[in-house]
Amino acid sequence: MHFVTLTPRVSRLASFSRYSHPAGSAFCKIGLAFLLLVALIAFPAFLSVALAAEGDFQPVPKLIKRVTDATGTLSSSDEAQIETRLKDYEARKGAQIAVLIVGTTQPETVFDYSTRVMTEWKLGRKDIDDGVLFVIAKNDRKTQILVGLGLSGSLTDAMSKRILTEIVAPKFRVGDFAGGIDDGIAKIISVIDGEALPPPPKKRMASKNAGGGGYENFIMLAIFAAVFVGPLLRSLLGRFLGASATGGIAAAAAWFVAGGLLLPVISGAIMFIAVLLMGAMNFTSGRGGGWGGGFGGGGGGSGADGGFSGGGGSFDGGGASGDW
Amino acid sequence: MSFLKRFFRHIWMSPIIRNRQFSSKTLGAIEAAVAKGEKRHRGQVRLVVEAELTIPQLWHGLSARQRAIDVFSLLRVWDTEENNGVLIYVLLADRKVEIVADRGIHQHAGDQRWQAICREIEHHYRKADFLAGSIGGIEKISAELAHYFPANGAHKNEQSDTPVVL
Repeated sequence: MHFVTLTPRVSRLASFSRYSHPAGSAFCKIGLAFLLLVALIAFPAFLSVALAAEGDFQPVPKLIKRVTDATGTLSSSDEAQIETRLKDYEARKGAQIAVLIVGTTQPETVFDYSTRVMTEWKLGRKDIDDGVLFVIAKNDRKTQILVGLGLSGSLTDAMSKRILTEIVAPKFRVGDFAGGIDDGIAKIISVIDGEALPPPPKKRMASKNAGGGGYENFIMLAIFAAVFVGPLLRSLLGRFLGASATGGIAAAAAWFVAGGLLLPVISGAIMFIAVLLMGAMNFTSGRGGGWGGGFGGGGGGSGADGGFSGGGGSFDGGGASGDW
Repeated sequence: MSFLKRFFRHIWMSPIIRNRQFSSKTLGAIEAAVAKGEKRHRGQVRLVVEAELTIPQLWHGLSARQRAIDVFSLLRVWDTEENNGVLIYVLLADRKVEIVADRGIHQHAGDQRWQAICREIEHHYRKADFLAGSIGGIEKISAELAHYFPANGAHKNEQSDTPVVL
């Protein structure tokens, strides 16, 4: 359930930071913040990909009916009911929705597997691309909704995620697969028919869903903080105070979105360090060049400056150093 | 250890402190003092205030003096007809003031004059009187320049009189 939108977002972020990298110091600063963020975001995704890197892939079943149950989970009457609902909708609107229940998608993630199925099944009408694929990996306890481009305007990734976590997952958790799929399909249909979902519940989600449910919002907040709030606070308050304030805001935002202790602490710390180190990537003015130490460095009355020698330059001006 | 002390001094530095020490009123007075001085001579005086250095600069142990010379180059203070630009560079986090003079004026004035002017600026800065210290320093440097490069009426203002806050 945690993989609905993860992979595309990460790649978008990565390309963003690459784009902003060479364009001068302000962009370098933002680039650094982005890099840290991407590291934070990409790590879990990378981990799951790495874990799934070996072994044979699961086969893609033939597309014969709208509901394909490779596990025998659904009773024939349930399956027929869902099939009928999908068929009616396709006759009424043209959009093609398919359900696939498999035991496992290992070693792939449910997202990768579903993408393969979608590619092979080619759901939806040509050109309109109005297909929806709903995959349930029963033993992995993962679900995935893939949406054709033609419908991604109304059935957004965020909406799919909410359908999965708020409608499907509670039923699955108590073993009601037919009910979960049926309700999920009903919601998908009503969403692509133009109906909006009711606002999300105000209370923070149960800890089981915390990471997944708030993930997307959290990423948006983090990006916002990194791009706007961090540099702004830093330029107003200075390096340390600005970094502290940004870290505090990031932690508070993470707590508000996802709750718990770990995520707020980690995100606060990352934002603190990111803002503190902003500009550290800009090495152009980092080194003074060839004046290897001909200067006293300014102990108040030392006056030990011997002129501008030592670097091989021919500049023979002068001056004085002092402190207060 | 001294690296860490310096590091934290620079990390702590904030625009709030800088604005208190070099307020816009002070900066305006500095600009006026530079312009007034340059009526009497053909040299160019510039004042630069920097609150703190970046982390890479600190990492490389860039001293206030080295930074002042970098700034002298960055702002092209060397770019004068008679090599008579003079930079006053103030690094607040390190509490350091540096005078960098181009060779045209340096060969006449010499180290001792710069040292004396620097001591006078420090004296005021130590009492947190950044206005008097800066103005006094600019006036003293202007006097040197007026002595060796007096105004001849046709000289144009080669560089901005406005102090730079980095």
